[in-house]
Amino acid sequence: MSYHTLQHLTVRMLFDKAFVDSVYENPSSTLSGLDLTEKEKQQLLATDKRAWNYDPLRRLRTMRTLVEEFKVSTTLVLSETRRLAFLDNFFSSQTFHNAIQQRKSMVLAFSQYLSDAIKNKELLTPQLPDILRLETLMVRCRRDSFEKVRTPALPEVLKENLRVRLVPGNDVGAFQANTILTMQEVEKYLFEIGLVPIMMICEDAPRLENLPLIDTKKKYLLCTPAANGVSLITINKEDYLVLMEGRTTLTIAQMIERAKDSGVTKAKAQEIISNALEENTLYICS
Amino acid sequence: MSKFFDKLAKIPRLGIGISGEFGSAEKGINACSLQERFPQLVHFFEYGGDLDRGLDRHVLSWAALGLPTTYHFLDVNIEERIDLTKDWLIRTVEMAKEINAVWLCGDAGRWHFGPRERGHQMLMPPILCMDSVLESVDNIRKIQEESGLICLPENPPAVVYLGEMHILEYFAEMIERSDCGMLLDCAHLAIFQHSRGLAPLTGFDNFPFERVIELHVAGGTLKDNQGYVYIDDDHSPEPIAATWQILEHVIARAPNLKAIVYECEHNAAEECLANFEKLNELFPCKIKEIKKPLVNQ
Repeated sequence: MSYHTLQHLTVRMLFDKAFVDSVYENPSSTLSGLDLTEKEKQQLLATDKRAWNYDPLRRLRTMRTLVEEFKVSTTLVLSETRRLAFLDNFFSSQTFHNAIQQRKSMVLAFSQYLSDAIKNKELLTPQLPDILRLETLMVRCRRDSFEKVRTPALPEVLKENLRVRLVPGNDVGAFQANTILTMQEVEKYLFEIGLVPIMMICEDAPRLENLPLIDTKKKYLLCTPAANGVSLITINKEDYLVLMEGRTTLTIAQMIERAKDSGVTKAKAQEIISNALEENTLYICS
Repeated sequence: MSKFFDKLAKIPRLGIGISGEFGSAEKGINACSLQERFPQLVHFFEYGGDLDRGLDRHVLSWAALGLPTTYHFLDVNIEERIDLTKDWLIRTVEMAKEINAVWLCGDAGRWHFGPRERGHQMLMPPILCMDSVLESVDNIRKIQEESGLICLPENPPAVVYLGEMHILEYFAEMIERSDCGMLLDCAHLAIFQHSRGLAPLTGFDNFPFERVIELHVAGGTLKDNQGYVYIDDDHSPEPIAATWQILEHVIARAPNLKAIVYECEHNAAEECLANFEKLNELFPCKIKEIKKPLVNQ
C-alpha cells in the first residue's frame, strides 16, 4: 500500500533537512522509484516546508540511543575524528534512508554505516573493527532475546537426528584477544569524563590514549541474554566452532559433522552440544 | 445492538482520571497520593505502558487499592498489520489484566518507525486515507476479539498530517467499521484543526458521538519555528481555549461518555487542582467507597 511508503518517507523527512530540500526542489527525481500516487506527492509538497524541521533536537536525541548501544565504537570514532558531524551524518546517509524506507532496524543500519566507513578507510583506529563487530553482536542478541521459543524438556538420550539451534539471543564470535580489555579501558575513560562532562570543552581535558594494542591471538565469546540485556562469556575455540553451527537449524549429526570439518572431535562436539542444551544455549526445535 | 454496545453497557462511568507511565509518579504527580488527598477529584488511573518497560510499582499500588484503571498502549502501530504480533497482544493483555484495566486504548497511528525496537519510538499520526482506515480496522477487531476487552483508538497529535480526509472523518469510519469506541483527545484535535487552519469544531457533522467513550485533555503551547506556528502537545497544566471548547461540545453530545483523563502527570499537583475541579463540574461522577486491599501491600 502506498500510504506505508508515504509514512516511511515522512520519517526520512523529519530526520533530514537536506532531504526535505531535495524533495521540494526536485520532487520527480527524489521521489522516483517510490510507490506513491500523484495525489500523495501533491499532499506532501503542499505541506509547509518549515513544518518538517520543527524538532531540531530529533537527531541528537536519536543519536543518544545509538551511542548507548555502540558506546565504545562511537567513543573510538569521535576520539579519532573529533567531529560530531561524523556520527550526525548517519541521518543523511543512504544507509539510514534505505533502512527507514525498507522498514529495517536503524540500529543495525548505524552499524553498517560505521562498518562501511572502516572499509572505505575513513576510520583507521585499529581496535575499532572488532569492537564494532562485538557491539553489533550484542545489539543483535539484545533484540533477538525478545523472541520466545518453546524449549521442550531434554530427552534422556540425545538422538543424533534431533534438530537443534541457538536459543534466540545467544550467539558466538571470535575477536582479537584485547577486545574486551579495550572495551574496559574505554568504559573507564567514559566514567571519568562522565564525572564532569563539561571538561570536554577544555583543551587539557583527558584524551583517550594508550589503548591496548591489537593482539593477533583470538578470544572467543558467547553472548547470552541476562537480566539487564546481554552478557559476554569467554568460551574456548572448540565451543565456538560447534556453537557457531547453531545459527541455522541442523540435526545433531550435521552439527557434529561440520564441527569435525573444523577439527573438533566427535566426542568433544557431543559434549559441547549436550552442555549447551542443558544450559539453554541450544534448544531442540520441534 | 452491536457487541461493542453490549459490552459497554456493563462498564460503569469511571469519572475523571489522571494519566501516568513507567516511573512518572517519581518525577511528577503520584496518582495514589493525589487520590488519597482529593478522592472526590480523581477516580481512575490511565497507565501508559509498553512491553519494554512493563508495569511500574505505582500502577500496581493503585490497582491494589481496588481503584479503576485503563491501559493505554504506547508501542503498537494500529495502522500497520504486521506490527500487531501475537506476542505483543498476549503480553499486553497480560499486563492490562494484571491491573484490572477496564479497557485498552491508545493513539491509532504509529508509535514507532520500522520494527518495534529501542530507538525507533516516534509517535506519528496515520495517513488520513481509506486504505489506512481499513488496515486499522483489521487490527482493532483483532485486538478486541483476542483480548476480550474493548479497544478505544485515539486521534494522535502531530505537526504534519498527510492524507485527504479530516481526522474526524477518518476516525468515524474506523470506529464504526471496527465496532469499537473512541478516545477523543481534545487537545490533539485542537492541534489538527490549527494545523489545517480550521475552526476548533470543524468536522463534527454526522460524527458518531455515541461511540465517544473517553476524552483526553492536556495543556499545549503555541510555538514558532522559523515563522511556522504550531501547537506543541507539551502537556503543560493549562489546556488552550480550543481544547476546552471541543471538550464542552463533545460532553454535551456523547451519551456514552464514561471517562475523562487529564494528562498532567509531569506537572506539580497544585498547578492542576483547579482544572480537576473544573472537569468534575463538567462531568460529575458519584464516587463509590474505595475498596481497601485485603492484605497490606
